[in-house]
Amino acid sequence: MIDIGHLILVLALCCAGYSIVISFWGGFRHRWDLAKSGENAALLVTGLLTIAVMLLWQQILAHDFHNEYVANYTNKSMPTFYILSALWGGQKGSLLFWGWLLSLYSGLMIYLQRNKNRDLMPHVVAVLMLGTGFFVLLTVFVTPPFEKLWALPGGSVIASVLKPAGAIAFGPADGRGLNPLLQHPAMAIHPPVLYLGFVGFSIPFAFAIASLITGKLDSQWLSVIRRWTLVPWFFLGIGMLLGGKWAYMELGWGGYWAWDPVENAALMPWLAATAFIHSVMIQEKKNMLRVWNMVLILLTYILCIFGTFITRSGVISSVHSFAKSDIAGWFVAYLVLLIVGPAILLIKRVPELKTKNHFDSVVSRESAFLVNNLIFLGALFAVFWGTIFPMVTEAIRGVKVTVAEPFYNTVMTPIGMFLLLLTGIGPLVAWRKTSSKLLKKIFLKPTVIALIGTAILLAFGLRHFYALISFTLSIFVTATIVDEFHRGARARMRGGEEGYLEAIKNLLMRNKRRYGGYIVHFGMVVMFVGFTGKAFTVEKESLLKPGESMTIRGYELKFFETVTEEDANKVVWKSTMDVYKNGEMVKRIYPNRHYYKVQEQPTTEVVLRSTLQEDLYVVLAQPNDDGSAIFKVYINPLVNLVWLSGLLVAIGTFITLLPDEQLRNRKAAPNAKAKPKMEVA
Amino acid sequence: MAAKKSKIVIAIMVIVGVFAWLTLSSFNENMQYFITVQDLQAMDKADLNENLRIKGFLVAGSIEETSNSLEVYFMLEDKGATMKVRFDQERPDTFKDGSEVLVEGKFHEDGYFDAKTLMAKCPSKYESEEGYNLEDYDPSKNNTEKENAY
Repeated sequence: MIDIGHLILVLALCCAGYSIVISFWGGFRHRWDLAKSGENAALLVTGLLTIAVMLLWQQILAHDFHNEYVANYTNKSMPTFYILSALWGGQKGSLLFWGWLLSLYSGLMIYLQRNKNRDLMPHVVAVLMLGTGFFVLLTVFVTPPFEKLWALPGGSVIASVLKPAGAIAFGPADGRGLNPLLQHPAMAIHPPVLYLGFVGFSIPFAFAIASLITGKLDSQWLSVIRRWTLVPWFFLGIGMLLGGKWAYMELGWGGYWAWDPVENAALMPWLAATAFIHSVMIQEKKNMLRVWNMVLILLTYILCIFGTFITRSGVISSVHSFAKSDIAGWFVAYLVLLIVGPAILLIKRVPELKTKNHFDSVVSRESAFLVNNLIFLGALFAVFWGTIFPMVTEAIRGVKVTVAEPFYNTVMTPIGMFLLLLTGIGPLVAWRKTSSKLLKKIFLKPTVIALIGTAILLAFGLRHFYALISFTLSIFVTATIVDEFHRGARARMRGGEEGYLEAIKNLLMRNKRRYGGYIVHFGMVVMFVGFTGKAFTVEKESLLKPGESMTIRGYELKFFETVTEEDANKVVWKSTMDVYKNGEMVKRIYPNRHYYKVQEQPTTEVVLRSTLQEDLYVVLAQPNDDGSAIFKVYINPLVNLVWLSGLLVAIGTFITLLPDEQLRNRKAAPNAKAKPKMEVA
Repeated sequence: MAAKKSKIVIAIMVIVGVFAWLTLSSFNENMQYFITVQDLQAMDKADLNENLRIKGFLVAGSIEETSNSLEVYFMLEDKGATMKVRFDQERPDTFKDGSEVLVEGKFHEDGYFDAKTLMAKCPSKYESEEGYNLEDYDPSKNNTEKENAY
């Protein structure tokens, strides 16, 4: 019998198809009754996919190993937390999960916009359902998560949605379980967070397409999507950080980013979206760069799908295992649609999008934003080119040529430095034109502070070129941000009623976008300081006999013994070490290795002695039979600032997303006017 | 107006130019052939002295550890062709018999490939090509063995 879950997916696919057709029809013919029907069908898709996801979760929790997916990615001994994460642990489940998230975003959008933007919404719904439908299509025809196992009369077992003739249902006694390497809290939540980012960009994309179709190219659609661009932007960034944290804790090589194609796949849409978030402000303020912004937001979504495509289809070799699969062709088709469709619409609308406003001065906020955009796109281009280069050379010359990691570091470091500089300058130069007198007034103090900082660093013996630049710029940007808050607070205090702290708070709450943005910028500065710590990483490998010690930059590690323990699941080698810093014992650590018997998978259990200043990162690399062991030890300065910066960015983004009180009051007053015109033909 | 415009155009061109130069120059320095173990046989002798990135599968049981350092010797194979590799750093957890391995480095005179970096495919969630092995579920085989393992 076909699993009920599969039937629900088929039904969801039909509803999505209906919604696409009827919404477009309603939108083009201005038949709002049809549009309403399209919205209802879309809500039904949300409901159906929710049921499908709950069903799969139920089968996973109930250990229903008749389901091939459940048998392949879970087993009875997994803790509940990781069992739940199995929903997105495999290709089939994660595609369903993706479609479900998109349907949730769509449902939320339909609810929030139920009385607004009636002219745009039919097209928005249609585009969102096109995206949802694509993923549901995959789960119905290509990667069905409700496939069952069947034992054939010949004795072999196959997975199939339909019951093969003469076969009987088959369920193994236990499943294969999730790879132990993936059983880490950061890894369990990293995919959903990342997906919330990837999927969320569908919303601004849908609105952009709707505005292109309807020709309503004013700032109406932009005001709707401002928040809906920030939300996925935030999730995508945090998702990358979580992935980095996982790699750092679980893979045991002391790093968190390796310019792997899969990492690049997430970074590229993030870069495009960051460019958009900045340049859209020029459009809001000056109604310029309208074509450019349209291109950026379309590009962001296309890069999301492109990234999904390259990581899941196996077309680009990566350290992450993405087996070659049948979905490549489908993704190519969808990508072509995503590129050609919007391109035609855009070309048609270019004459209407062009504006008469021009740049007034080289030293102005506008040109700072423009330069910002060029840099982000430059970075994007470098990453894109590096990522697809093997495909290009293979197509042209028949041999794959890759670029090694140093390429990215050589190119991205100066780009990063320049961005850091702009982070300080951009927000402070005035719109249109900035006089040199004003420039001096704003930048004199931060520049002096930064130079004093550099002198101190030099005096302490810091000679690393990029690190010096990075720290100097970080001080400079921090000084400009602190100065902004300070000057703003002082201005508020002139009224005499507010204390300093209250003035800061009010400053933040009355100008959420501006000052929230500064906090995000400060988070980026902290992140860059964390990145710069990489320049001072040291690593050392030592063979130690019990009782011997090794030293590494101020630390002494004394090794006692390694004990071997074995249980049903795994073998564990556990070493005991005492860590001394400057002669004082600071911590006893137990670096260990596991070997999971069933999966034949060794895992390195890294131990850390973590401070804000630096991580001591110890790996038991090789326990020997004679009791000696080889340890690999890293000192990673400032690495915790990278994780911490995520928190700052989160706080800043949260503040910018808070509702604007002034705006809300304004909207509340003339209530009657906002009522939508319902036109029934 | 025209002067201002050309100033901006020049500024943009300078930035784009610097980027293009930066990207292209470091690009050429860091290019390396990305081949499989099997491709080695068809390669020009001259190209074999370049930095290479080679993909292959770890031959089961071929890892020779040395107990006083992390140095290991192993074989990679691909469709019948094999190569000998030497690596002296910590191996990733994903490096195990049969796993797909990427090595970057150069050939040494003694015939070993000196790997500077070693990557083994993360047995990630999206695997299913080899991940789904029918034999595991073959009811003709005794499944209790597997059950006991947990």
